[in-house]
Amino acid sequence: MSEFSLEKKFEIAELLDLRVIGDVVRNLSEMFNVQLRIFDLNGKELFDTGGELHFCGLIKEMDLGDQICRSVKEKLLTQPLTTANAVQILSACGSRYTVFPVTHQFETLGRVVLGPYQDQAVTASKLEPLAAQYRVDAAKFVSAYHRLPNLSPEQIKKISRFVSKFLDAFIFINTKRLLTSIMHLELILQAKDRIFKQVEKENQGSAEDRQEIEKYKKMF
Amino acid sequence: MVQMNLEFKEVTVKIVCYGPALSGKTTNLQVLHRMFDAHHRGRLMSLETQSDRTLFFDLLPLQYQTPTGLKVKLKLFTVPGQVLHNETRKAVLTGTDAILFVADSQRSQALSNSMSFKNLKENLRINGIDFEAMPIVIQFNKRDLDDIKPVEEIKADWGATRFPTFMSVAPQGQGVFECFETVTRLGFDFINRKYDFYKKFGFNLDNFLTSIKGDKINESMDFSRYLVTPGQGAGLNK
Repeated sequence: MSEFSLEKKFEIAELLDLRVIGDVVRNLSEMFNVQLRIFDLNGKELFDTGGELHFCGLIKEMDLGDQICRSVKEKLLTQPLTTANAVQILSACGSRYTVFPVTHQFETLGRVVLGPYQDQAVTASKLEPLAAQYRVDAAKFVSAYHRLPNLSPEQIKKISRFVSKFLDAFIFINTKRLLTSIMHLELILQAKDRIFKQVEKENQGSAEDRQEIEKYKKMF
Repeated sequence: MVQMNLEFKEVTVKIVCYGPALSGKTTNLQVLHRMFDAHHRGRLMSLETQSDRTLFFDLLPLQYQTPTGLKVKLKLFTVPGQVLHNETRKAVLTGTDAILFVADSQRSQALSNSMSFKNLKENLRINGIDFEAMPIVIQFNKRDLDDIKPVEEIKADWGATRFPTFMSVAPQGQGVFECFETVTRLGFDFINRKYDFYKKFGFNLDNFLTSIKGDKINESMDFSRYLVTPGQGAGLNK
């Protein structure tokens, strides 16, 4: 049996059945109308519940829209996550995100991005100058912004904790199953090898047997 | 052998619970898991069990971060005790830094204990690990049962050896933490002698042990009650 099986570090994509996970996370996402995305360690998106895209659509139409989106995405994917605690990220257009790591037995496997949602500190009086800055219709901007989910810090905390615990449990079960399968397979292969050697030895048999086999060999 | 990842300031130490079948290795880990500080312990992973017998291994990871930012990971493994699972035992032993040998104190289990101890020696050799240098703590478990090896005999048989020996009743947690602390101390000291680990990383073993054990364990520990022989030259200061 290989010692590497014991220490094997699996990637998050190997440990999450995204279709099964998707059902649970999508329901939660719908309940709070907030977008949830899961990324692996390399920043590859594994799952996206989708969400309220009206505001994002408006931002993308702006002159600096692409730049703002790129900058937020980079922050979301590169923000160092040292502990299991969530990190808040504020985008230049006033929306807020929460990022937290997906961990398993103290190893970081990826990250979850929750958002965009409204920043409760951003009031209409702060949105209008932002709209002016980005040269976009203020009424449209404010209206789109208010279509983003409005979640209290407590709700964000609860959702993050739920998703975090849920993923942790899911990953733990799958790691256990995967390791068990790998080790079973290794044992079967070892047993196969052992049986092969045993059969080979038995087939060689005694000198008498060999003579007989030689005799038959000539006959074929 | 200890894994050091200097780029991520991470050190991983491995301790293996060895011993014959049904001697209480998994129970040791279950008790430790229940009592360790929740911030420092991971989940106890048992792979997999058939009628409460370990087929592969159990793993309990612990993590601690020093004030200097060094992450210290301690992985506690058990091996399957049944004779036929020797390949798994060999694999689990790879790279171990210290061993807790869990023996069954019942006289009727003397042969199983001795066969397992010999098997440990052989598997270490196969893994290229020097048995003579390996920190090993012996735990005489199941002290609550009848017809057990008396303490005087343990003293007489093991007193002159380098192995610290303890008595325990694992399901009740008696002697478990004392064994854990001793094997951890011996393991870290062993690594330190090789790599000057404490000085290089500003690591303090006492702080580490105090943090991961939590107050509950720290208060209930009683070395004088469970330690039978300190082991010649093991350097136990307790």
